[in-house]
Amino acid sequence: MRNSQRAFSILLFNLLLLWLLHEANGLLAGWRIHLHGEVLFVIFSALYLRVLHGATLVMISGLFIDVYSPFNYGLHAISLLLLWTVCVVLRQRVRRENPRHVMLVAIVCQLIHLPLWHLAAAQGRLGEALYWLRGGGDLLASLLFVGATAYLWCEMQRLWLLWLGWNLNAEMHRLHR
Amino acid sequence: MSRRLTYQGKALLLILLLFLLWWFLPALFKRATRVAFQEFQAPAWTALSYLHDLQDFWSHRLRPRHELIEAGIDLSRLNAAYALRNQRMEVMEGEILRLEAMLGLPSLPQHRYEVARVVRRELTNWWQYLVIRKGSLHGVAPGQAVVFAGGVVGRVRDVQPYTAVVQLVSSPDFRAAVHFGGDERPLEFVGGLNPTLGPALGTLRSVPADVRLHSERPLTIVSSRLGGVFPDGFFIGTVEHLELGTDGLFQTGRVRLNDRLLTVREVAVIIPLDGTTP
Repeated sequence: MRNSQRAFSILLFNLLLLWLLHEANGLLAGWRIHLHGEVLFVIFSALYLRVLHGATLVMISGLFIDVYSPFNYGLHAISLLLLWTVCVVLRQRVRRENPRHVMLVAIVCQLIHLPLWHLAAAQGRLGEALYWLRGGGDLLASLLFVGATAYLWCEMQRLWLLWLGWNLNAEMHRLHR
Repeated sequence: MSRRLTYQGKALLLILLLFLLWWFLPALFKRATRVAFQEFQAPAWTALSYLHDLQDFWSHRLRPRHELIEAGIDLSRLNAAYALRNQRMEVMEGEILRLEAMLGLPSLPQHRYEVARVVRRELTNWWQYLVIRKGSLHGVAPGQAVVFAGGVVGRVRDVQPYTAVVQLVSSPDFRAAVHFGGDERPLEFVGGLNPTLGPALGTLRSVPADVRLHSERPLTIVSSRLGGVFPDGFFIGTVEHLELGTDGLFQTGRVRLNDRLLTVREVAVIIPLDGTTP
């Protein structure tokens, strides 16, 4: 199996994440809390994979999310690509082996992503306090969620690729091609 | 030249190329991609929903026998009550037909109910929708009304052969003609306020100035047939607050929606019998 084929197996993890988020949000629906885990779709691709593999994976994952969205098709894919770019820029400053660094990247990206979505998708409700109250609640829950799971999620994917015979930690120099 | 580019530079260049590519892609290609991704996902969500049903089945199997017997007795009582109500409804429908014929009135639209399980739900701050396990092959079409035991659920937004997307009454872009229970004057309902840990709320507009709230007798909002989508009289919510507008002629209000709406597992699509779509 070639490394590019192994990299695309990460798409299965993103589909698994889509389902897990759906189940979690189904359970939280009664409390009107929605977990946003978009950062988890991009963080591994940004911190571990090559540019072409990472961007393609993120684009496909975004199109999967876009299917049921009432907004223009492709909007999630584009927003995930932007988020991925932020992660890639931050990658130079962090050590991906350090759980705190990964957690920090996830939290920073979520802090950029969710408020921007709230501004862009307000549909004339920017002045309503309840809109921002709900947004704040979702942001807080999502920050806690991505902060707690980002490193473990990345490690799971890294170990999966290691099991497939691709040791990413030993190939640091190649990834920068 | 490309060798001098850093990893970050390559990423930015690639992103720019992807944006331009997506921007200039023909709409037909985007639509085809959407349908392809949708058709790829739909069986997986439906299969997961069947797995949930199986899980429910086994959880019921593990219940003690006396609990099941008690539930069976309760259900048989309910069945008897509903059978009586059905008989009464048939008599009333006959009476309506007789009066329509006698007075020369146009007949009320006829419809049937297509019961469907909820496959997935997406309840964000920006939109609220359900995906149900019935689609165009079962007669579901965009614009049709969706209800459940607790009242109005929403309206069908998008349909595939085996699944359909339902826009919830609590969605910010949901609008419908409604009226108070017992007062036929038309009002406008807009969904969309869903505070964390609080009840789902909607907004009521064009309320006549003479309407007052009573603490002992809450005002209920029900669907109106004026919009051509919903049959008359399905519960939507209760009015919590009314406020006179700046024009002094109409009031605006806040409506508390049914709490069960966001955890509903089974709904019914109202399909017109004459084949028309709303």
